[in-house]
Amino acid sequence: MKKIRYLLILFLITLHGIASAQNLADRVVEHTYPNGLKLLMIKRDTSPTIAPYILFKAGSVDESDDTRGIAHMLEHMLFKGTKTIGTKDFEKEAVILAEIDKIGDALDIERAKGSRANADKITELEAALKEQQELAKAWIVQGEYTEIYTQHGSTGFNAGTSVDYTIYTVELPSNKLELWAMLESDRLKNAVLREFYVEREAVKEERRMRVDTQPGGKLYEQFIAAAFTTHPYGMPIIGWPSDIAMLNRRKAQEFFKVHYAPNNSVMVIVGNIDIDKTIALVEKYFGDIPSQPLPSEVTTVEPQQEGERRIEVEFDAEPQLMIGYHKPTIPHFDDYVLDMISAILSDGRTSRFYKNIVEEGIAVSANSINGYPGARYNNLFFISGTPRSPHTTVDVEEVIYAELERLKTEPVAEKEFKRILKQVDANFIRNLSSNAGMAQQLAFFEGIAGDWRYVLDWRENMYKITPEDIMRVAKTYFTKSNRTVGTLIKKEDAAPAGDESEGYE
Amino acid sequence: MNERISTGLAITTLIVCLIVWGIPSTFAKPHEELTFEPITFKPPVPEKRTLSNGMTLYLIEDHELPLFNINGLIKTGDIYDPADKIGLAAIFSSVMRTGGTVSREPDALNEELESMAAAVEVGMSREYGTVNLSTLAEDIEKGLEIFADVLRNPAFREDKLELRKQQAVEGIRRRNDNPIQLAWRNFSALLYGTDHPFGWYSEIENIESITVNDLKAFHTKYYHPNNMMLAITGDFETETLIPQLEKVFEGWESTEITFPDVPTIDAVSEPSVNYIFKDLPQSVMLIGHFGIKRTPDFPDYFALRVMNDILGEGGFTSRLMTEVREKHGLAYMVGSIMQTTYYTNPGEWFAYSQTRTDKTAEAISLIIDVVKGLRDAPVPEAELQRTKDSLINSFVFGFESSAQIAFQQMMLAYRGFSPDFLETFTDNIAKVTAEDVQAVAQKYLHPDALTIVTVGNKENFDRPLDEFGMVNEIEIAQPEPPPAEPMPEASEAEMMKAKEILAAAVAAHGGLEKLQTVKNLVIEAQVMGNTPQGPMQIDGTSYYVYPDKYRQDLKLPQGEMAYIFDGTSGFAITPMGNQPMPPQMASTFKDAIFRETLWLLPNLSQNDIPLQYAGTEEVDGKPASILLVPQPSGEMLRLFVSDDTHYVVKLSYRETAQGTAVIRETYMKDYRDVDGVKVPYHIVQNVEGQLFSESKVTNVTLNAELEESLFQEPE
Repeated sequence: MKKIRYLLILFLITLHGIASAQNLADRVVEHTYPNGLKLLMIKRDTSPTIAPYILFKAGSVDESDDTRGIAHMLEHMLFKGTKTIGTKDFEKEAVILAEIDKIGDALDIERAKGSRANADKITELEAALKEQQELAKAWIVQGEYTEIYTQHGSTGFNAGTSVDYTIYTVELPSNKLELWAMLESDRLKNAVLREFYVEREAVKEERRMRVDTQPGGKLYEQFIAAAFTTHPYGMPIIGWPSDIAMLNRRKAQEFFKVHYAPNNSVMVIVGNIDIDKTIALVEKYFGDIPSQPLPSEVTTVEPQQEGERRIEVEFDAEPQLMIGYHKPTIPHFDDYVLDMISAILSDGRTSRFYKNIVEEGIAVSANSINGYPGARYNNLFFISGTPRSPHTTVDVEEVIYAELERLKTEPVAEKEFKRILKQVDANFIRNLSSNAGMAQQLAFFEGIAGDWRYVLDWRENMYKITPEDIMRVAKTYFTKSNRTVGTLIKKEDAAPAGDESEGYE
Repeated sequence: MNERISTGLAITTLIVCLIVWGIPSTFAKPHEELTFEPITFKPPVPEKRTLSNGMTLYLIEDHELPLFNINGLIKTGDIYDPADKIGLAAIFSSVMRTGGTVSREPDALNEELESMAAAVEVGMSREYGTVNLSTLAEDIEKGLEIFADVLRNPAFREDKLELRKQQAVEGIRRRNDNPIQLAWRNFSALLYGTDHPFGWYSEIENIESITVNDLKAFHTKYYHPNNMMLAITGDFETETLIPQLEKVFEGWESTEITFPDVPTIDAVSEPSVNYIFKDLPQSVMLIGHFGIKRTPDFPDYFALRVMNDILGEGGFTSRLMTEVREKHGLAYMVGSIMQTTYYTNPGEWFAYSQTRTDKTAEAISLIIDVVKGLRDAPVPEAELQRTKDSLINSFVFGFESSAQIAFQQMMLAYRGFSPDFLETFTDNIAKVTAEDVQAVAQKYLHPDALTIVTVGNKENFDRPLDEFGMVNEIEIAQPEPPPAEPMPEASEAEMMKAKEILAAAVAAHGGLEKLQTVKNLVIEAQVMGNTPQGPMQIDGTSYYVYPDKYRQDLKLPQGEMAYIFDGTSGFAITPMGNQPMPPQMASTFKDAIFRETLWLLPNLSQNDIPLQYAGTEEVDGKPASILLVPQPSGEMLRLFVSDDTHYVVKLSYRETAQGTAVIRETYMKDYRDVDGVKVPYHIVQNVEGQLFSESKVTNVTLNAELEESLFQEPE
């Protein structure tokens, strides 16, 4: 009798889930243009606002050794305007821009010589660069591109670069859709990467802010570099200091030309729109951008790890721990299983890490994320922990491993599955309640998984997972020889050690 | 220039209508040719209801998705933390949820909520508390029942409080890891001082002192239906919901609440330049002063909004961003914030930047110049218009979801704003002139009264910071909790032994009856202080009044000083004026009074204070028995009683001040008789094994006539 009741409940939940997934499937409208541009739309009339996002499948993974950091640098540069925006006379400005490039190249080359550099020459070139930058100011209308958006009521106007992609985001009042289409297509067709060297300084500050002054940022950078010896996933998105110091406009333009193609991008517009008019409007502004051969994918495959790797970072901060296991990316079935495992380990107060590590007072936090640092290529199952003194990272490691071992030997209870599946279905509904959140999600799955419907398949696959799958997957990937462990160690005597980022110049 | 029309947006007929605009340029730009259809938008208006128990509701039915949300607001906040229990409100809010309810064990509560993909969360801000429910529409009834249970019957289980306290202590241990957090904590503390809760941050001893009873008392005081409002949105029917709410809150009565007084503060703060060392390649700088107290009748609000955007809150186009980042490449993050959410106390106004170490002073100068610029000249018309357009056109994003709309209305009511505040918002922004902006800049920005906090490594600064004023270097110590020193397991025999030793000591010091007659004690002494600058001769007088008052007068070469503790708070009288002591020092004083031998001995014999014998050790070559005694702060006191004379010859204990713990040892010699009790006339104090002071007592008076005013702060 009990069993029947249980089945009935599960059935109801499933029905509900299908309903919410179906709701999503019904609401997404797709349109593909002849130049390969894919447009996804969801009409939501809750408020007169729109969230138009554009994603380019161009991330730091697409860089080479001499352009590392350029995907991110280009993202910054695309806010500097176009041939008509941000300038009073582009023809006149272009002459100075060419001069700035020449001097900047010479300066970078000289500085890169390090201790063998000619200091006088550097001073001379710096003065020359400064002079040209001053001349350029006569033609530049600083910040005009961003000002237009701001004046028209934008919110969340920004962009982000990951290992896998670069995304350009904004929300606007819904009557500004055409303004968006005009401005975005203008920057795709006519971007001018002006004020490059000043922005490069801001990017160096960004690196110092995110990495060099942040214990967690510093540890992660070293950790991921140890986990990937070969695949570019091991490289920092922002670039190493010496990489940033050698970035220039030419490299950015080249990256732009190769990767920012309509057939290498996804456009998503969620909000108060008229579907047909939107399709026509996008056609009008983006339809004439030619498609082009797609850049090649990364072919380097991270070799199988043959033994545990351990790294330490000394920093003026209390200890932290990071652990990563190599595993396949989407749409491998084991990737879904690891999503489920991650939920079992660290979603909410009923999760195993929370109950057995945090509530036991061993760590103040312990979390898992499946799929670091990206999803286009095989990636890591990532775990982080912050010990609570007097417990150490060694103690936290020990209890984390105990939880991973348990996954290998003890079948997960039905109750745990049920709870997670209910959350999966509820999240389908909750995600729909934000234009921006929905735009981000659809762009990601269309761009990276290759089809936004991945979210629907994902749900179905989550329902297929059995306790045996969990045990098998845990045994396959959670092995000592497949893991990388990073620990942040307190630097005991913080003797002034000089600028740790001295490699910048 | 093209004519522009920015029609106001009213909440009932929200119309975004911005036709053509442009910036001065030598040729027409394509986007300037665009025209925009006006938007007509009628956002839902929350329905206001009151439950029979006095609870106010703001309801919006929204059937787009099968979801249900409650955002509750309670009139309370961190500002009501007691001075010696800083962090109580925050810990309370956390344990209110994690500690389960009277009928639901914490695990059961978590399981129940998460298995229906629902959440109940409790939060605390400076000036209000929150409690939220989020559930699928199919679970409204169950969700409401749990929500009400958490609100009405939290159990504050001891183990969950202990866990939360441990986490808070770990947070304190880690509070210097992140330079921004380090700078911010010090900035607020410097600005508000120790008198105002906005400047407070928890020390380990504050956290350790919090008990289950404190949490229960906090709940009893503030959590009543008449002291809260709920914004309810989602897939429900009002007429079904109201009876459900009445049912779950049935029997929960409204109660009169008296709110503690919070000190008021002046609108302008003292300037100061502060430096904190951290060996990093980038400096964090916070520059600011008190901001505004945003009461409902605050007519400058609209001009201030415009000014703040122009200065540093307007994202990529603000002046700070343009100057510091876009023109000079001196930061990635730079801007300013005027806190406008506080209504009983002025919040902070501050500018911030993170800049490479060798450009630190340059960045600070640039920021100050930008601030001055807004006071010195009216903003150009184009910049003003652009900023106003931005505020007016983006106003619609305050109405994106029904939850946001309902919450916003509730918040306005909480702060006493008129409901038409939103309806007139865009009109009021449109009216702001360049003169208004300059006027508010002059009124609310004070470049001559800046508190500057810089975290970084001055070795590599471009210029010393003293160009901005005298630099106060703040030493940051690593806060460590006292080592866990549980009372060791004691055998019956050891406890008996402890009692025997105590009895002998009581007898030796004059006997219980005699000791009990001592109500106050004045000790005059010549103290030789061992200072880093060499020995220093001090004449000192200490006054102890049973059970909780203490005063110490010191005659120093540089003038007279006094430390006074009146039983709850302490202050110092110095040649430079009177200064309050950090509230955390209260427990240090309480311990000091507790340790006074003439009271400690009768106190231990009469009261049920756990006492243990911990072996013997030689003191000045003679064997002494050690007794372990917990002090009021919880720190362990080691009391050494001579096996020969039975006098207390040594005390040893840990003391934590400003996050640093040290071991103090006091040696007591040359016992003499004073009115039938025994008092040491020669006292040597060591800190961390180093000589700290040596005192020769010149006079001891018992039960002196003492004026109350000795323990009051002089005018």
